[in-house]
Amino acid sequence: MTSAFNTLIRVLDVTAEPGGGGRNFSMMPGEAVWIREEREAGRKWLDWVTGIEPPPTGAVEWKDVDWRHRSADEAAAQRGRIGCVFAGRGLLANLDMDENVWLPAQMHRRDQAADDIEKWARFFGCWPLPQERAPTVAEDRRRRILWTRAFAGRPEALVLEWPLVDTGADDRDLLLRAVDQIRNAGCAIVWLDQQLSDEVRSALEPLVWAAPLPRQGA
Amino acid sequence: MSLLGYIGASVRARVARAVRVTAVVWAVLVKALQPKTWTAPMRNVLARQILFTGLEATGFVSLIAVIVGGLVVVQAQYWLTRLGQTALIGPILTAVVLRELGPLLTNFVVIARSGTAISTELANMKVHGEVRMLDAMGIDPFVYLVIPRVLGVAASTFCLTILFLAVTFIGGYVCMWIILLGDIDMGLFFGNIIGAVTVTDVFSLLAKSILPGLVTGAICCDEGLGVGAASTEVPIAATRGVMRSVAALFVMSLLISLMAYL
Repeated sequence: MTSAFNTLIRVLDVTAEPGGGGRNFSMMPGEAVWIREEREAGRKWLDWVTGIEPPPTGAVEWKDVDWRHRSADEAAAQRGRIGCVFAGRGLLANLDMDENVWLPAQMHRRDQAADDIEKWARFFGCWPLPQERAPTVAEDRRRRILWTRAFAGRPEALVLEWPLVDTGADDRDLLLRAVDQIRNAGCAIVWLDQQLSDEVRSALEPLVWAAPLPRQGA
Repeated sequence: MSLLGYIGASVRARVARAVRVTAVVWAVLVKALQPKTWTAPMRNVLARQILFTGLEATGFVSLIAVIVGGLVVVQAQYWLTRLGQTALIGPILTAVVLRELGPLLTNFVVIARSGTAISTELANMKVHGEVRMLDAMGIDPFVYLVIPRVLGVAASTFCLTILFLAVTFIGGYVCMWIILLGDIDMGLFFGNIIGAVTVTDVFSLLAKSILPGLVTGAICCDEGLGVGAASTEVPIAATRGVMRSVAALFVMSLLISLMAYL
């Protein structure tokens, strides 16, 4: 398969901690990376990878172009190609659950999203999507709906922000199977967590190396 | 800081805020003219805003309008009878209610009901990371959150103002009918009112009902989305949004009146 770009995601000397080593890695479709992110340190990498915040040092490129060099409209359109699993609530409280799932597809005018939404909602066992507000839905069901929204719409990359917090073994296995499936379809995976269990690591192998490089003279 | 410096800094801050709000309103109007802005979820938010700000406020606005109609008519009847100028009741109702009180009170109701709601809702969304979430999904918060709220508030304020005027005049007529024990000609009463309305009144009414609505929406959205990460900032944003909207309402009403009638 030929792509119109050299790398899907490219991280150039991005430093999360002051004085820490910069991270450098490139990803192509279907590849996976684990970035160690301390939960206490706040959410940073999802913002940087999706380009909603620039990193304090270095740059993040999406399809060979630095997010900072894209216009606001173009950046928003490109972000629509990235699925996100957010830590915390992750859903709009004033929308029903089905509206939450449909929101990105409708805002980006993806007319053929219905089949994909149904496919992933069935996969995660939450079809039909409940027409209830997010705060009234049980936590595990809410999590599966959050996953449905992220996986639906054939994203080119998926950013998962601490996805297994408070998750049972069944849900973990379900998510890892989904990740494997979408990865085989060419979606790149960015896994953000402070540690990687053996199960997750083996599910994500082979991983792109994303450890920070030591600073010169450090 | 010297007193002069303090006054200067305060004026500069207010001017900067006014420029910012004007820019928000302008951006809303420009974006609203682009067809790609009108996605299904955005139209849905707009409909909900009109439902809340406009439709659900009709009862309260009507109640206020009936009371205002009665008050104005009682006072006008009392003073005009003493002066022997009862035929002026139509023009006085037009001058007081249509030109000033109607738009002002309707905007007050909208600010009190919807201004606080918008600031609080958006501030809560910001604090709970929902705005960041929209951004990360490539959904422009300005398009999805701000535009439908600003347009919804403006459209609702205009409709509520028309309702307010209609109910006030009908209420005024009923009040007159009671005072004069039925000795009043309905055609003459409403003819007097309609005859006193000028083209300037119509444009002034349009400006006073639509512009403050746009500005109220913009101020409250701006205050709501301007909070940081602490939930204690939410009530502060709501209060600030209301206070600034009320101040903007008075300033705009004064400016429009000066431009229209001087």
